[in-house]
Amino acid sequence: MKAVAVASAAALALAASPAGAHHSFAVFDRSRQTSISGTVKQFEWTNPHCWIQLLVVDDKGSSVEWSLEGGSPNILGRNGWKRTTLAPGDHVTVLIYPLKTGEPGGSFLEVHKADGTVLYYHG
Amino acid sequence: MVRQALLGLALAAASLAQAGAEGRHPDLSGVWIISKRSSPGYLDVTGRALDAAPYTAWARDRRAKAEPSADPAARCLTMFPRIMGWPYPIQILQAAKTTVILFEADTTFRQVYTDGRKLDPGDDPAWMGHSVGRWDGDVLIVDTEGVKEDAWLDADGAPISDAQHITERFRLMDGGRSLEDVMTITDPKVFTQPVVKRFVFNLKPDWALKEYVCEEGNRDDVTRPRPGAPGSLSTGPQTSTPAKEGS
Repeated sequence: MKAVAVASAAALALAASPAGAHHSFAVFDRSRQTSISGTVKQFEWTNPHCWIQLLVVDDKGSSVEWSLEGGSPNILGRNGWKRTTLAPGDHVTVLIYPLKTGEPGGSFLEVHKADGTVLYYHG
Repeated sequence: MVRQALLGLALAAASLAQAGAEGRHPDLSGVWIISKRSSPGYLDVTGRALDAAPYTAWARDRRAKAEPSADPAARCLTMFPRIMGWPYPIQILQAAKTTVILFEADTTFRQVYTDGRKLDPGDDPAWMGHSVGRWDGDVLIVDTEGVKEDAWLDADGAPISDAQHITERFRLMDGGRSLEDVMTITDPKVFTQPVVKRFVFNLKPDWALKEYVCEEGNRDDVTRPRPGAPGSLSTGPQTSTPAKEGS
């Protein structure tokens, strides 16, 4: 099973992937998708990557800030995103590939807003 | 009457021949975006997919030791041939003596001279290399050398050497709705045999290139850390090997 996951990750690495442009995708664990819910602290609409700074309450009740990386405004904009798509205080659930290091960060794939809107990065 | 018709045909044929001599070639101009039909990995020169890239021992070693944060692209440095597969639109502007490829990614360009000059990168290597082109029927053949040796061939640190020679064959497909770029990379210091990548682009008549300035909000230059939240490359163990041109 592990071998299958590694093979599919290798295939993705070779393909022209959205995140392939600016830097390697190797820092993310693409064998594992995780959903995290929290409150948007900041939505950074900037090149080369947009960032969602998300405050997530952990098992111990502490608020932890996650840094979630997505596409550039150019790519997200062509997928229907806007600078105002997310605002501080929004409650969202985000599907991510987590960082391999286990630190609070990852590459976001989908964002589910409280009103039911779903926004995509990887098409 | 018959003679007049024949004369007309002869004049038409002469006109067509002259059009060819004047360089009326297919027009590759337009805004294009990379297609999923592009080859995911390397092919051999017959077009067969290679199971693994045929790296030399030197290239394999360089690639194995490469840290993601040492990627020039993580410091907003853009490079050919890697940029051809990036997920941002390109715009081709074709004129008689030059064809320019504008890249939205990093707001940069390639200039392909088609005025008959010889390929001569001299001692002036460039991130996008030096290119000349010539037409072979409906195919624009572009030869490139002089890509900086600081460039990476992929995001995993495959190198490029001073023995490089890259040939691309551009042609329109599907009645002009698709563009194919079959790229052959010959670099005996990096590969044990020439390798081929096939890029396919879809025409996007209703798209316009946008600005893309990577330095604007880059969190991944570990040699010049930004205050604030970390980037994905700035966590965990890192090495920093800035290129000479990096600062």
